[in-house]
Order: sequence, then C-alpha cells, then structure tokens
Amino acid sequence: MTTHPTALYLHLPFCLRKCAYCDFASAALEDAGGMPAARRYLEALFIEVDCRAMSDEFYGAPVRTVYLGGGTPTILPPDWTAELLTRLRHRFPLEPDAEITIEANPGTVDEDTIAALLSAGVNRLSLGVQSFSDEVLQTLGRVHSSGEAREAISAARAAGCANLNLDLMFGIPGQSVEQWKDTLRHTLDAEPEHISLYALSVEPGTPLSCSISAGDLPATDDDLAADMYEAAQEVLARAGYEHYEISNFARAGSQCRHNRIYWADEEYLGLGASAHSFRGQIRWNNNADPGVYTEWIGRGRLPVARAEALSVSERVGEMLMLTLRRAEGVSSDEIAARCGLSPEEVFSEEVERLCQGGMLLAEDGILRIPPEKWLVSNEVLRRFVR
Amino acid sequence: MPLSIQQRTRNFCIIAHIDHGKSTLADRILEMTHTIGEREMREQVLDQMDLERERGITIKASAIRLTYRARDGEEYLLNLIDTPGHVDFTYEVSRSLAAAEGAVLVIDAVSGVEAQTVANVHLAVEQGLDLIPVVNKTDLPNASPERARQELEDIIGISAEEAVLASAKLGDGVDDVLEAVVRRIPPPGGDPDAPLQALIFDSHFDPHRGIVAYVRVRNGRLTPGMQIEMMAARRRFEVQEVGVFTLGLQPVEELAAGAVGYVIAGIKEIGQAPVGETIADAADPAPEPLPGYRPAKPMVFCGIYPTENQDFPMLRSALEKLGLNDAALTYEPETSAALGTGFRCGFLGLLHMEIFQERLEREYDLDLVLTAPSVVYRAYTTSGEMREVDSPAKLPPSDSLDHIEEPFVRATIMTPVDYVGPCMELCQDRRGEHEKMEQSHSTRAVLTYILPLSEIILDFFDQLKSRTRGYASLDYEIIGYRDSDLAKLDIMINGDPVDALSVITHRSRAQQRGKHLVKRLRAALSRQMFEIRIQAALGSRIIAAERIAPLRKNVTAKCYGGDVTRKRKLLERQKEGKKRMRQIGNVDVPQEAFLTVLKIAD
Repeated sequence: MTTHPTALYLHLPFCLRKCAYCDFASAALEDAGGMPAARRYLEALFIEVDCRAMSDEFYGAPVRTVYLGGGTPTILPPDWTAELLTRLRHRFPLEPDAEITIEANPGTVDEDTIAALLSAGVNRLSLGVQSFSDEVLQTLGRVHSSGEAREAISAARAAGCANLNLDLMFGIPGQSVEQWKDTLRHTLDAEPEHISLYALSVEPGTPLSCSISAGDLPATDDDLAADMYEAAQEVLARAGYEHYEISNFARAGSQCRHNRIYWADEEYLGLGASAHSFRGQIRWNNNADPGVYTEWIGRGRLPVARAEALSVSERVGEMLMLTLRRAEGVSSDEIAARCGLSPEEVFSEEVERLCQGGMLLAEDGILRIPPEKWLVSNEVLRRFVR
Repeated sequence: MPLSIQQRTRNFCIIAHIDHGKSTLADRILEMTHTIGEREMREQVLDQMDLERERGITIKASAIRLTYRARDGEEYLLNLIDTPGHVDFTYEVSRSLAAAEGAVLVIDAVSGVEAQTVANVHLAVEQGLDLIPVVNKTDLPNASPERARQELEDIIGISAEEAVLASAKLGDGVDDVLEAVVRRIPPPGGDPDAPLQALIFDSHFDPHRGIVAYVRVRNGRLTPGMQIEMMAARRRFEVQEVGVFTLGLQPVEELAAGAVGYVIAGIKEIGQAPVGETIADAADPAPEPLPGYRPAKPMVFCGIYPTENQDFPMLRSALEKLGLNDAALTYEPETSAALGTGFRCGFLGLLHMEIFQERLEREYDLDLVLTAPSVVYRAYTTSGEMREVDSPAKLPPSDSLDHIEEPFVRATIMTPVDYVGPCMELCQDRRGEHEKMEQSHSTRAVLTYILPLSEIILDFFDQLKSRTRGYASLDYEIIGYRDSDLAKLDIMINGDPVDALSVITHRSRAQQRGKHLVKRLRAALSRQMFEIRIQAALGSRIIAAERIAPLRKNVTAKCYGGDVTRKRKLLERQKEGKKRMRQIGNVDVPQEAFLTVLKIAD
C-alpha cells in the first residue's frame, strides 16, 4: 500500500481516420477492427487497470488527475467512458477534486454526449480544434470543419462544461499569419479557460511529409511559424491568458494539472497501448499497437514494450528538460533534493555558458528560460542530454 | 648458328589513348602465347588494382614475359610492358618506354587518332623507339579503319601501310601484331660482358621482401649475391634475388644485357631505389649512369583531412603504405583551423588525386575531406626571394609580395570540326591563348592553346567533354611559369577566415569564384542563434557576401502523453549532430559543409 499520489493517463487509440500529420499511436477504427475490436481493447484496458491498481507500487495510491487521451476517445460511446471511470474509482482512491480530462474532436461530440461525459465525472474537455480556417483544416487532413468546431464549443458550454481547452496548431504549410490571427480571434470569442498552441512538426513518413516532398504543399517556414507564435503571445496576453508553459496558456486557476505533473517531472501511470509511465527511477511504455496490446493482456502478459532505468545525470537532465518548459522554471535545490545532484553539479559548464549567452536566467536559485527564447528552447535543452 | 637469348629478346610497350583497347590487346597476347591458361584468364590481367579494372584505366605500369614461336620457327622472349593511358601519367609512360626498344601504338578504328595518341607517339619517338601502329576494334559496325590510317599519315606522319588491322576483342590480327613485334622491333643492344648498368623503371613494395625494383639491364649482368650500388644515391645493397615477370615473379639465375626483370636486394624504402636510378656493380662500377628521365614532379596539391580527427594516425599510416608504391606522391603534415590535422599531398594531376582519394577511402576505409586542388605558384617577395607555394596558406602576406607566377601548359585538343567553336570558347573562358589550329584530311581539327594549369585542374576536362558530346580529347605539357595577376581569395564567417576554403585565383575570376563559394557555404550552414555573415575577400576588399538570419524556431511542441523518452531522443540526435561540427569563431560548421563546398564538380 502506498500513499504516494499519482496521475493516470489512459490511451484510447481509435480515430475516425488518421490526420495527415499524425504519427502518434492511433488508428482509424475501421482499419483496427471496428467497434468489436475497440470493445476488446477496452476490456484489456480494464484488466491492466486492475493489475496495476492491485500491484505493490500503486495499491492505494491517491489519484490527483486522470487524462483520457487518444486517438479520439469521444468516438467511443459515452457510456463506455463512464464504465472506464467507474472502474477507476473502484480500483483507485480518486481525490474528490481530481481533474478528469477527456480529449474530443469536433464532429464526434454534441451536447448530449458531452453532458453524459460530464455526469460520468469528466470535468475538463480538451477540444482538438486546430484551426478555424477550413483551408488549413483540409491541409491537416482533419475530419471536421470550422463550423463543426464552433458547434462543439457551443455544445460544451450548453452542456455545462466549465473547464474547456482548445488545441490549436500553427506553422502549417500554406497557412498565413492573417489566417492564424483569424483563428486566434475565433478562439478568444469562445472564451476557453485554456489554450494549447502547437507548432506543427512534419514527421517523416506521414502523408503531409510526402505531400511536401512531392511539392504539392510548400515546406514549413520557421520564420513564419515564429511570427505566428509571437503574434499569439501578444494577442493572448492582452486577452488575459497566462503563458505558463512553452505551448500552453490559461486563465488564472485553469492551468492543466495533469500536464503540470509531466512538466514537474513527477510520477504518472500510463495505461493502454503506447502509454508511458514514470515511477521511481524508471520509465516504461506499453506496446504501441492496440491489437498487440489486447493480445498480450489476453495471454496474461504485461503489455510493457520497454523499460529504462535512469542514471542520476539523466534524471537531472530530464528534469531540466521538462521543468524549464514552465514559465516559473525550476529551483536548483528542488532538483538536487529529487535527483541527488544539482544542475550546477552535473552541467556546470553548460549552465554557465547558457547564462552568459542570455539563454538561461539564474536568479535566487531559480533557473528559467526567458520567454523570448522559448521558441528556440531546444537550443538550451539539448545541452542537458548526454 | 642458333640465335642468342639476347637476339631472341624483344622489349616492347603498348601505348594508346584511353579506351582504345590497350588492355584487351594485352590480354589477347597473353592468351595466344599461352602465358596464362584459360582458367587463369581474367579480363585484363595486367591491370592489377580493382580500381583500374573498374575505371578501365591503367594507372601503374607493369610488365610480363611471354614466349612466342614466330613464323620463322624460332621461339622469342617478349617482354611486354604495359603503360598508363592518361595524361596525368605521362611520366609513367615515359619511364616504361625507356625500358623498351619498340612500341605497339593502338588506335581505335572508330575514334581514330586522339590527343593522347599524339602525345605518346612524341614520347616514343623521343626515346628512339620503333613504332608498330595497330588499328584496333575493326569488328565494330561503325569502325572506319581507312580513316584511322589516313589520320596516322596526316597527324602522326606514319605510313598507313605499316598499320596492322586487328580486333583484340575477337582475337583477329593479334598474330600479325606479334609477328610485327618480332620482325620490326630490333633485339636489345648492350654488352653482357661490360660493367653493369641497369635502369630502374618501376617498383613495388612487398611487405616481406621490401622494394621489388623493375629493371632493364642495358649492359653487364645482375646475379644474386653480388654487391650493387645505386649510382645517384651512392647506396649499396646485396642482391638477394633476380627474376622475370611471369604471372607472378619467377626467380632466374641472372639477368643479362637486354633483359627486363626484377631485383630484390633488401631495399626498405622507395626513395632508396627511385625510378630512373642506375644500378651498377659495386665491385666494377660503370663509368657513368644511364641517362635518367625527368623525375616525377607533383603538379597538383591539395589538403587531405580525416573527417574524424581521431582518424589522423590511420590516414598517416595509409599514406605511408600507398607512398611505398607511388613514387610520384608527396605528402607532409598540415594543420587547418577548420579541418584539424591532415596532410598536404602532391599529385601528378587531378586523376591521380581522385584515384588516390578513392584508394584511401576504399582500401583503408577512411572518410576524407579534400581541399580545393592547387597548382604550385611561384611567389616573389619584395626582397627578391622566390617561394614555391603549393597551398594558399603559404602565400606571403600581400605587403611583402611583389608578384606571382603560375605554371602554364600547352594544351592540344583534338575535336571534330563541328565543335571547334565551343572548344575555343572554353579555352578563352579559361584565360587561354590561341596558338594554332590544324585540320587533318578527315573532319577533325587540332587546336593548340597556352593555358594556365590551374584552369585545367578544376573541371576543364569535364567541360570539354560535355561541350563536345564526349568527342574531344585533351593532352597537355607543362611549358613553364609566367607572371600572372593572381591573388588569394579568402572566405570568412563572421569575419573569421576559413583557411580550408582559401584559394589562389586570377583576379578576373575572383568575383565569380567568391560568389560561388559563399553561396554554397550559405546553403551548407544551418541557422544559429545569431546572424551569420559569409564573405569572400580579396585582401581587405569584400567581393561577395551572403547572410544567414538568426535561428528563430527550434522547439518541441509537446510531450505527448508523458513520452519524455521521445523528446530526449530528439535532443540527443540534435546534440549528436553538433558533435561533428567545427567551430569557426563562434559559428558551428558541420563537416558536411566543407565536403559540399569543396566538391570539385560544378
């Protein structure tokens, strides 16, 4: 029995169809065997929940946050989600004010489904809006239109959702700064509690990457992407959003508690195909293929594909890599207390050089990256890997 | 009275323009004389290196002894000395010729007399050799042996009747070639009882036995156990073994006047038995050495650096080993701020350099960066001193520099008349000075131009080929040094010169070259946290510039579902990439940048 609190991530890998840029562990439901396969997957997930909940490491662990990610979790019937949450409540002591997020895509939710999810215990909805330009949505290969995005937002509000996040993407081939500003205006009109902005990264092998190589789409333009990011910083700050992490903005009191656990380098338990976990000095992740995952569980086998124990310097490096994403940065003492060595001990030369170059600020024992360098933060963070 | 061994010996070479079928003819000769059985027959036995086989070029001369029963019933000993067929290796051709009394001149029945044919004939005539012209490839449908014969008369001045028609591929006429060798090439002269004089015309290094020197005995005898002296170097050795070239080395009891063979005498380094050296009997030295031939002088220099600095010792040992077999190669250590430590190497020409690079990469598995090839300039300082400059880094500072001279060549270009225009344009573009133009009876012209060697070693040959659809051929000879308006072109990154990219260039070409270099460098560098200025400068004057705006975006958008490992791997990859970088000032320059900028082509 442990009293160590944890965060739960549950992966629901099915989508209506895969987007052009996506290289995450997800699959079109139809290709993956349809609803019956999804149901078998869910049953397998129940078993993993049971096993982990009853294991030494997690038995009795209070759960502070739950995150249902995908894929598109909302293409499954809402009562399956309710079933899953009930299962979790039976197995883990969920804290009374636990943050329970579900990812949803416009076009897969209406007022009724959202109401059902809320009554099942969900209290935060993350909508994959990405853009309010239909042209851009088409480039991304999204299944929904900007109209459907607006409808989903209204439905969420009508159903009583009081903690809404909108996911947006920028730096998309062919996207203009004007189009982006227009998307930001529509976003502000919806008055979401939270906004995530992700720069598109073109992953090799995706249809989007192929279209660019073939010359059907222009290549991404880093300068344009930087202009968009800066425009967003300005617009959202003026609208009262706090830029609390490289890609995230929130109204006061609405920061995402689940993601903050990742950025604080705290422990979490991931369940389902491809889910990642971190506990003690160990990171592990499950097999990414939903079919294989289901089969392994069915055979009574742990779905873990890979585990890695971290050395002290790796721990310090990873903690820096994560905590420096936050506006507030990190205290050296906290890293020393958690990992056994301070950043100055493991990366003295790097820290000094970065501070001299203005890439890193060190004040009162706190290290942080100044906001104007966030868009080039990898230039800082890469110094902390071996 | 039966003929003596000397009377039954014939020493001959085969000379040809590249691709005219020299090696195929040599192979047929070996087959027909049963020197090698069919089982041992590989295509082109005499080309020993894989590289030679692949490129279809003979690089090193080699020799082989054959026995041939002629139509007169006598059995003759024929020493066939193969020669390289490329302008870079003229020197090797000349030393092979020095070992022979005659030469088989192979001419392609399709393409006719080419520039290299002419050059080789000049060399052979200079050495007083008898020539047997062979018109080869008569089996090809577009063969025109009559035209080839006509060109022999017009361009070379050999009676067309002397030409033997052959198809080495089918074996036709090969017999006639051998008969002509026996009948038309005189037996070697020389007195076996006179004091020993033997000429070293080539050598190779054997790891167990040291230098195997290839010799032509002019007078006297060479036998195992005798003390010999290198007449120029005044070094003495004891002969361990002498022998002749069959498919391998075959020891014999003696090599007497007229013989071609090898000597092993515990010689450790190629410098102790250089090509052109005369071997004498230490106990009874000949009064004077044989006339040597001009020593091989490297004409083209470049820096060779390992891509990874820790490979430097491997590069050194590879150079040492290859140097054992390559008398023309020179090398000395050199340090570059941009490339680390490497060697300044001297070559006979661009092909020699390329082949050498390929051998280093292939046989020694080295990753290399080569700097732009340079000729040897002569820099005269204001104090009247002359310095040979084989690297831009060695050019004296401009305030103490009076003037610079560069080597010039007389280039002979043979081309179909239709392409005379483009050839002349190319030559003029390369600072060429037109000397003359001749036209043979056929439809071909011979152009003669005086050109700076530096213009030829860049991409002249490729350009010539592409402008004439491959029809033109080129040969050149160095004619000496001339005053030239030259200057050092420096490439700078944020004000810091990149030594590896400096070149000495003619002022009229500086702008074009500078623009080209900065453009390529710009494309090869990635954006960094600050602006990068790339400039080309002649002294303090900037003649071309490019800029790279600062990096604005390098961010991992999200760390999906707690997948920290993926993010870490991404950063690790970025870091790994940076490890292969060199610092120029505060700018990270990837090794690949030097590689792309320094690529000779285009």
